[in-house]
Amino acid sequence: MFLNQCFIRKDKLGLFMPVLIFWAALFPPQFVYCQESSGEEPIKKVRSRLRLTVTQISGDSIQLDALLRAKFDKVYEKINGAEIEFYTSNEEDETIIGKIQTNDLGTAMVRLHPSKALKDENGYLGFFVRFEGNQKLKASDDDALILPAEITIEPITEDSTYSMAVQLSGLTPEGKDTQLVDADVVITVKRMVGQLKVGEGTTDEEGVAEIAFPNDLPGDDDGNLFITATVEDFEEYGNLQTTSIQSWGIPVSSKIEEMPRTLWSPYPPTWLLLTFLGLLAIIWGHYIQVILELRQVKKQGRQASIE
Amino acid sequence: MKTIKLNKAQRDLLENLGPRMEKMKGTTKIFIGLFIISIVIGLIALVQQIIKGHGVTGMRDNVVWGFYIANFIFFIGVSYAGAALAAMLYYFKVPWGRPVIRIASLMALITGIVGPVFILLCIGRFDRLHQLIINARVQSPITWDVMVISTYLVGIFLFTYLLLIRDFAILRDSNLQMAPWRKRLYRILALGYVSTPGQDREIDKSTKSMSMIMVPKVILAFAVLSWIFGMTLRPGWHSTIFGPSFVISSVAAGIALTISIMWFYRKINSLEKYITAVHFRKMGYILLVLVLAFGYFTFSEYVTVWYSSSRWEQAVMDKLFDWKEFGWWFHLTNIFGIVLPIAVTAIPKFRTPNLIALASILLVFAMWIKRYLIVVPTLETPLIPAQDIRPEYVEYTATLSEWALSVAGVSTILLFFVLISRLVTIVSISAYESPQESNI
Repeated sequence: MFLNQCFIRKDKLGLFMPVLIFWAALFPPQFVYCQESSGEEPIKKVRSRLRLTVTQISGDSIQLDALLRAKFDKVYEKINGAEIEFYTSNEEDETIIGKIQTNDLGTAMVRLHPSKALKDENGYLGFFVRFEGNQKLKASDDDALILPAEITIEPITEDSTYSMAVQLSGLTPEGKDTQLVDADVVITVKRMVGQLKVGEGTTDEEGVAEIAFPNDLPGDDDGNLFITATVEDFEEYGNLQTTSIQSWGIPVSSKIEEMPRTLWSPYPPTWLLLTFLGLLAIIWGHYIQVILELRQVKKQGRQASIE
Repeated sequence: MKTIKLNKAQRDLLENLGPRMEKMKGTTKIFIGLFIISIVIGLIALVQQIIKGHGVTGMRDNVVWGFYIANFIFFIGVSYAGAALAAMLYYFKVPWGRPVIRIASLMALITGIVGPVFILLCIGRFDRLHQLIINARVQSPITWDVMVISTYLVGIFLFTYLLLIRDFAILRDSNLQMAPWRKRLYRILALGYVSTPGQDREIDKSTKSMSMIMVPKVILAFAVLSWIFGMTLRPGWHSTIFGPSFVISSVAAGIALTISIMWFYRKINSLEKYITAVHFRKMGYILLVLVLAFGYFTFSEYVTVWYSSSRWEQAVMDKLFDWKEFGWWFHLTNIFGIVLPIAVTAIPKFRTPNLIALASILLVFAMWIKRYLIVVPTLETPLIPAQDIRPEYVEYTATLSEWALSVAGVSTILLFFVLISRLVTIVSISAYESPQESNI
């Protein structure tokens, strides 16, 4: 009966059919995104990669940086929120330094005093990091052995020119003091969004690199510059780093000056503000007038019904 | 109690259309059911989107806009067009325009309510919505758009209401068999209108002033919407002709949608006596002028880009003309959006209600695709060359969630149209004059 009615009234239903057919024809299958099946198949774990970097800082601390990544669809992604265990170890013993969760850059970091690091019989400081794995990722680890080393920085001022003398020294596997020769040293200065490289040099047979420093860099209110000397992955000593603050910069005030009225400042140009508010006031004024007139309509209707 | 007096033509109209408002047909109920099912599916998709985030959509780092923005600019555009059409026909007292005013204003109101919802779907964090007001920057086109759209919505609501007050009063005083709540609703909405000279003066004055301000307001709103694109330094958007071309195409889409709705209402409710071939022909003339202008703007836009050979602009244009990318859709918009409507409305033999309506329906679809082509190909052309990036970050594909919510939006509009035709007559009773009276 129902179908019969539909057929009888097909002239009316038929009006919508061309529209439906048009829609169906207009969007071919490639226009539609198919979501992946959420079946009960076991999840295949992805291999993770953990990398440990050891940096000896100014002879008074050792920084361990772990980076955890995994490959998804042929692209490495940094893993956030994974727990990384940091250890110091030698042939006989291992001591946990800490457990840290990776940040959104996939890194976790700890620092320890050199005296807390375990040494093996050849004088190497041993470290390793471990990721236990989770539901999606397989476990991974990495280790590093380094010889103790020290980096010092000495500012040199002559007339109006500046330079930095960077001294590198360390211990041999036999435990003897040695100067680190032919090491590449980079000098950087802290800027707003990172480190600006301002000079580089190589250590001589005394383990010293003297690097010229520019005298026209903007500093803070007092002209202070935060200078860092870095040696990357040198022989068996790993990374070395030290910092120094020098008032070699041009003082620049960080006080916020009053902004002009522009498109990019918090204060809009006056003409723009007046146009914007003026147009809104005219239109909303109109609305208010119409609403008041509608109130009059209602009032007069009430009076008419009383009469 | 004083009641509204009707002339003969108005009484006939009420007798003809009134019974349709009393009882709902079976087919209407089926369609209402289908619309509600679509809306529920859309709501499920929305909940999923809120819980899981925008990862369920096809939008990613590079292509940050997709279906939702295309829907938004399409519906808000046709809403502006409907408002401008209704306001101009009213202000200039166009004799044949009375049935069109009612349909155009209702279309403007309904699409104006639903259109901005797509912006909310595109915004990931509803909880930060108030920041648009609290931390508004007067320099930002987004701020202009928020203010303009909210101002426009209040305006179109007031304008449509003013056009309906007299009909509410007629329905209040009618003998139609309706539920008591409907009678009570008409009583409230009629604001005690009993056609006193003072009431007529106030309503005419308000409606005229609203129609007068509606046109510049719509132009302003259109301009702001187009500036959101035009003021962004992106190929395909940053051009001086973008605004006029966008406005003309939106108005054409709005006029075409009005014609389509007129045709559907006319067929379904047998309104041939009230919405005549003359109405379709006159609307066809308006459409012809707009489509010719749009065709010229389109040609001018692309020939300028092609001749300048600007690298980024050329990259977007190559995508639009590449049959493996957007070529089919681009040429479809030009055929259904420009060539076909011109052929139908320019050749007297083709100027029949059915053909004009068919051309209008196809033009509406073409203009939606045009909106999609404004948004997506440009965003798929990053300013900075992207390397070693996943394809889905630079290639947009709408997901089922976006489809579900888009269909739900269209269903909501259709549902509103069905419901509003039960609340008021589609042809205004109070403004109705027989064709002889109005000289058409």
